[in-house]
Amino acid sequence: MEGTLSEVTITTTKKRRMEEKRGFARDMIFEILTWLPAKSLMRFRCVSKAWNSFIRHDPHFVKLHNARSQTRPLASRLLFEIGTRHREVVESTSNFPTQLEGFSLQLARPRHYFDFNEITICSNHYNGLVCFYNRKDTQTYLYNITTGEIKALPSSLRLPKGWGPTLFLGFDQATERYKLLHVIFYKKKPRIKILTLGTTSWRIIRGDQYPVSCCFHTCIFLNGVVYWIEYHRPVIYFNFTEEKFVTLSLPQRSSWNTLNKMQTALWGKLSIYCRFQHERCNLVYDEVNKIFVKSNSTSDLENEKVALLAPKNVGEKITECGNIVLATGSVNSASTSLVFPDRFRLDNVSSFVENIIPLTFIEV
Amino acid sequence: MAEASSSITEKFFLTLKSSDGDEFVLEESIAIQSITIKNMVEDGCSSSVIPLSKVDTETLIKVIEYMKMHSSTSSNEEEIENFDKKFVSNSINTILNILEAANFLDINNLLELCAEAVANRIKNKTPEAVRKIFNITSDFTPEEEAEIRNETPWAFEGNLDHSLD
Repeated sequence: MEGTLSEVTITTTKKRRMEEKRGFARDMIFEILTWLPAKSLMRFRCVSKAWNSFIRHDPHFVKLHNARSQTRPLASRLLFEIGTRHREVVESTSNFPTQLEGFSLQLARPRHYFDFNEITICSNHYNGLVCFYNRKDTQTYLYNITTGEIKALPSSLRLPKGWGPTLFLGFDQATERYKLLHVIFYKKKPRIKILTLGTTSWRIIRGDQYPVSCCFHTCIFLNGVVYWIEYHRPVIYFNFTEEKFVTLSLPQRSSWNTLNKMQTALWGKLSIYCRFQHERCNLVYDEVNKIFVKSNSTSDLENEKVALLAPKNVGEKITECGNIVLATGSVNSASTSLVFPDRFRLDNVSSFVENIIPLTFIEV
Repeated sequence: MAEASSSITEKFFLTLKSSDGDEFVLEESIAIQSITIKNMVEDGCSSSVIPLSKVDTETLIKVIEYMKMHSSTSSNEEEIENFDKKFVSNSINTILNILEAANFLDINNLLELCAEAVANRIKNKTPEAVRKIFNITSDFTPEEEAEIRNETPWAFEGNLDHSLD
């Protein structure tokens, strides 16, 4: 996360220059800017060189801004990957549903080089960052969803021909480094490797615990941990600091466990649909006490819904960009479920907090 | 309000002098919310008048109002919340003056309150309006500015506010 020494020096001299010219001390400007939403900050980069260097070159600023964003309700956003169904379905249901309270989506629409026909999302989302893979030139990219910045990852990520990457992006709190976990299955056996961004060699992860699939639909990244939830199996997560898989036991009598992505994203807590003999319920993971708690609000889920506003616009964008779009939205009211019109296929949803981290701060 | 307890603990008073030369007498226990003043008291520099050369009278009155509300034992959370809400509805220039004073006097919660309030007031503004409010002349060439605008065109979309307050 650290900027280079020269960046910091430049920032300091610029700050000093600003202080001389203005009555306002740099501390004050720094304080004010840390409370601003990402969109305002990106706009205020052009106020002056001094403001721009806070926003783009000062690691302390970026860190404090991110910490403050965690408590700013509107900075918490949901990230959607949305696809469309067949054209006939699209046309017949374009106005559904209108009776629900709506939320609007902001399309994190890829600019210039972005074409979802060529590019696939190849990792989970972490802290507002995600990896993309370009099928044509087999290049992997890191993408900041908040700022739209994109950066190519080194070619050491290149995989054997024919393998599309399935990456898990995580952060090691101890070393403050981003890490990529790569899982492939070869002859039904997993091959698991890890790379610390900024270094060049993959390390093999050994152990007897591992997920049995590497599909993003069965996993979610939450509060620094990737969880895998697979039918009839205990929950597995990967600890990016200790670099090992850990198993979480579900209450004994439960079976048929599926990840409840929507609720996990909305509540910020791992939520799993389970079956207890004849009863279905939602289990919510209490991270503090490390236990699963049966959620008693299951029956209410059906009643509190929020619907997608202006689905037509989203549909047009999807046609324009390929079959999947990345979109963000924030839901202010405490709803428990989001409704997508039939013609949309919700491929993925997760929550993140706006993060303006410049990709130059992440060594790759 | 605080008289009831005055018989038990002895009160100390400080005199604060604004840049306009006006003097304000304030209870020490209230004034030491300012770390700058607290340090002066601890160093024994507070026996006479404390000159605050960077704070004008109008601003000092507001800062004292804030410190009184935030130290008073009789004010409850709701009262404080309402006070803060009203406090930040002052003009943006007044808040910026208070922010400067809070920075100089080192009153952290006042600094945060004002900084957040200024941020809320400017968040939908155009860069031009922000420059005027902060009295900043752009040091970008038109080409450099255009380049920044092109990097995040979405940040310039929507109904932006041109007003200066």
